[in-house]
Amino acid sequence: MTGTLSIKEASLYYGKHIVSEALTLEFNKPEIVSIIGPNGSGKSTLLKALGRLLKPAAGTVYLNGRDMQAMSSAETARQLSVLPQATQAPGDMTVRDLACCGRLPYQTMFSQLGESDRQAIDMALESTGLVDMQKRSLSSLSGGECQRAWLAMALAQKPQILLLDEPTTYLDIHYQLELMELVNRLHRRFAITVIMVLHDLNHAARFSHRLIAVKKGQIMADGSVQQVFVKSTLEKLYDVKVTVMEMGSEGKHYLACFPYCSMETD
Amino acid sequence: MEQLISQQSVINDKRSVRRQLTLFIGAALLLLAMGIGIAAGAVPITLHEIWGTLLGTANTENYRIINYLRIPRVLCGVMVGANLALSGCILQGILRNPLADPGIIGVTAGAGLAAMALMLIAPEFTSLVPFAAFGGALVAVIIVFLLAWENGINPLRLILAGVAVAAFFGGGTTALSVFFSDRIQGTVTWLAGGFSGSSWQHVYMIIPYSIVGILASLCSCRKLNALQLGDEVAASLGVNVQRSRGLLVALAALLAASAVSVAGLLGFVGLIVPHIMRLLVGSDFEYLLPVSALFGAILVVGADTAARTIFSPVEVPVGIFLSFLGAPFFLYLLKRRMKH
Repeated sequence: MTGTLSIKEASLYYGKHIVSEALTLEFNKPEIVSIIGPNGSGKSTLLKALGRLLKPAAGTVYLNGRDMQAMSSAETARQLSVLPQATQAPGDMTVRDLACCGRLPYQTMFSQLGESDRQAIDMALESTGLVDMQKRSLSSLSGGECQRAWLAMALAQKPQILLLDEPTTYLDIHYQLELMELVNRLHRRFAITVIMVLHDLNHAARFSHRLIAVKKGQIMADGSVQQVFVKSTLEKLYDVKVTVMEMGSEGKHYLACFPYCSMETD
Repeated sequence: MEQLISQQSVINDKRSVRRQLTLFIGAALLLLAMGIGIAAGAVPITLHEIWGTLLGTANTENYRIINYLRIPRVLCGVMVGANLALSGCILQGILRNPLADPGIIGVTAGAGLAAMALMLIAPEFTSLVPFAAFGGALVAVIIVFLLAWENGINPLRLILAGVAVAAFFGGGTTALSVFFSDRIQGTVTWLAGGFSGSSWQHVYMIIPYSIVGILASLCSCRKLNALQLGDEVAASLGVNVQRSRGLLVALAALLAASAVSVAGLLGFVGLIVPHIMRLLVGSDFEYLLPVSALFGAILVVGADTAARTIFSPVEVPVGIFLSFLGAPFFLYLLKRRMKH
């Protein structure tokens, strides 16, 4: 089943500071969407509002057609999972323990993990390639493995929509690519809509179907990679001069950009 | 599928064996500590007499000692220890601070000031000290709560507000002891903490809080586990973070306040016990909470028995005993943390 998520005429505040006003966006098919934009543009705030971590001061977020604020947080968590940027967990927790936490929204106060929970956890561990590591403690994992363990937790929630806030920060390029490829595989295998905030423009261009450019709390561009990933938009978005080029490797073509000089901001 | 399940059971075997074992040994040790606590003392008592008293068949001279002195004292120790350990365990979890204990939310300072004020200003009402301590503890916690509240409770702000309130109330306690320096003698024992006057009345005072507190905290282990992963992850797993944290701090406050009202200012139980248990069984609250309660009870009952028998006929307040045990351990923890 495909999940739909939309935000209508929303005002987002961070404390008393206005981040965004009159935001409207729609996600209605399983696709990989990247939100790009400069620091402080309101990307993460937007992601938080979509993930029910931040209540819009005005406007509404709809999950599968229903007002998210009117749903219980457990009900939301069964359809949508969010991974924040900075995560922390007790070091003695095992990978499997963390994946088990993903079943919390399905459990009542006293219920034990049932057969369907076990299946969801095994599926999450298998699809993130962590079956052999499931009894390792989180403190013994590398950054990339740890991020996969968190992804397994999010997958155990059996979400239709997965929100990721800068999932590749703190990872080296090997783990960055590995994680992006994993996200791509998960999207294809489970038909999940993935919405993520990304800093690396080339990853965004290569692994997304749709790009949303956010600047000063407003949507500057929203469309396919071909539409958004163009010189004029990127230059205006980041106030830098860029060259956008098409690279080919092993018979595939990717868009890539090279920012070479910053421009004066007004 | 069957194969998968058996494979998993092997995987978590070692850890779950250690957890079960800790629980089992804890239960056995508690029974042993309670038995020794009833038997040992100025008048030694045989196991046979205890058994007889419990069954209501004995009619020995020692019946009164067992029934009116030793049993209530041991029961108070069990519940005070369990409550303090649970309170510390919950606070360390939700404040994500390994050095948190019931004192950090103002419980100790509030109870201390209220009890001192009553004993010094109106000594004729000394029998009401437990109620005053309980009230004082709650007032202090409420002040800390109000200071720390801003669209919910922020753990760091709670700790800072707790430190400030504790300093303020502590100043009040010092001021009282300066102004009433002639009457201070009687209050010293209470401040040191102990069970020398424990009676059935004290048991009845603390027992509702222990029962409600133990049940409520065991029901919250999933929420505590989720909160350990950070506010945002907990929220994304369907936990109402602010409400759960508020209720859990209130629960920890009630547990600690009821313990302090019965036993005076007992330090360190709420700090060390959850810490050692975390090293033994890990940070899953489903196991951490019950074993903390068990070993908290064992520690307090054991320490109380030791405090009143080792230097017999002099009875050392158990609070002093625990501090001598707790402070070095605290330093050891700090040193270990610095190494990592």
